[in-house]
Amino acid sequence: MSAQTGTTGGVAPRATRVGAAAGARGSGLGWVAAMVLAALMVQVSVLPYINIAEGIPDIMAPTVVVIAMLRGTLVGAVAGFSAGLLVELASPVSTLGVLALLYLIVGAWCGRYCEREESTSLAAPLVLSVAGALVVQFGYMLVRLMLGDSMPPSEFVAAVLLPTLVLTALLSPPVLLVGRRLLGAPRVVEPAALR
Amino acid sequence: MASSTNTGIQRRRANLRRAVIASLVVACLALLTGYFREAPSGPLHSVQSSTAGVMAPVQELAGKAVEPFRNGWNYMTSWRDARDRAARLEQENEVLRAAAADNIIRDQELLELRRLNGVGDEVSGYGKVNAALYARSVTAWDRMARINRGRDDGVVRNAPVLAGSERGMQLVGVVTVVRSSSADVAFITDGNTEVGARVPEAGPYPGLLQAVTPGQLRLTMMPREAALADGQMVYTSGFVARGGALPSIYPRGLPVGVVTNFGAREADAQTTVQVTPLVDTRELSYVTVLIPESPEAIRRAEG
Repeated sequence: MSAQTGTTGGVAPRATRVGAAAGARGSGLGWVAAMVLAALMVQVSVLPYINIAEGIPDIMAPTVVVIAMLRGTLVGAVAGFSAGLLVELASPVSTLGVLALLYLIVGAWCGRYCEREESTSLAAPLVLSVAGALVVQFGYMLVRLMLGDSMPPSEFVAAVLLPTLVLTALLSPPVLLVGRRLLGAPRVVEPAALR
Repeated sequence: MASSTNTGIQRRRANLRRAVIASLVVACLALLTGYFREAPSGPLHSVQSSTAGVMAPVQELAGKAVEPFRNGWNYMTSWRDARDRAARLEQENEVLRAAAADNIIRDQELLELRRLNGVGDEVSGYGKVNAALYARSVTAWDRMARINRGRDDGVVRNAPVLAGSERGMQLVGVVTVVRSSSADVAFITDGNTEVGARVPEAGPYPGLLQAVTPGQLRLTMMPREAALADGQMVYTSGFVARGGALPSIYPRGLPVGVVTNFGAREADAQTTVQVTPLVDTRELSYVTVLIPESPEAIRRAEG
């Protein structure tokens, strides 16, 4: 991800970019929806067939992370909720609302970083993507344990968690770069009445 | 004045964000709670099922588009097992050639006895429909998939689902949800599926096959005197093991897997058997659904 320089020679503060960029470009919410739908189709149609042990790559996590980091907490939370809900509706899983809640948490948390100075490297978004996938996997495991399913901890870590995180880390950079290209510079998107 | 206005706007923004996130969290919890409390025919399940039906054509198209890449991935990952599989198959071939000669004679005797006693082959009471898998679960906790055959093709709930393996057709799952042109299949390696099973070579002891962790099967209720050995085939028993009298939704005689380990502690009266399915459901592309046709098969499917 590249840094944006203002007239002072450094990275422009976020508060000015909210107002300044609003006129220069649309909010990009159409691209947000398109990214969520594209990630959904890849996640439910392609990725279940690409696995190491029992781990399946999570492309929704980096998608929600990049949306949240570039458009703020509100858009990130709504995108996360929608992404999780759509995955549960489209994929044969025995839950509803669980993935929606987990991706909502990821989106809401990562949206806070939209209000900080943008990172000049992929490291921070990549770490957040893997952390997001980790939150989703752990959260889902906790819910399944509460529902009576079981899995030995060693098997969960070795066969599910680690392969999932490795595969997610490998798939995240292109998703983050495409997201940055489509959505442009970070700016917090809020309802018009509050500008 | 300007600064107090800005502070007010920031406070309103923060409140709006909190309100939206809180209402989405409440919505998630309501969905989660409602989904688990309601019956499988409830409104949320129906919405989930309807959405699956709407997205089915898109998912099928996407699945076909990426099939070459998927096959390439499976081909590359199969290299690491190829040599071991070849050696194992050569050994099995020798054993099977010897057993085949005995089986021919036994089959003839069995056929004669069945004719005499009026006992039919239970699997012959089913029709067969081939189906392609076009979606599978995105979590390791659900071993489920969607097939492109549904009510319009005769598929019914609780219909057994088979797949091809090195040793012929094998039971891999059961139909759980049926729509007009698609259906959901829960594999036997799913944590919620139980199958009454037996190991004929070990004796006439019915057991219960369950997935203790997703992907692994365990056969319980086998007495210690059962003559178990690694490599023995496990078949459906046609009954639910608990109580032993209730007919199972799975007909008798369907191969399920092979014994790979067994053991018991000193104080245990029963042996626990680890069973490995012959088919890796993660690589499945096509399955065969057994459609109940005979009165006996229809009764089994009704549960």
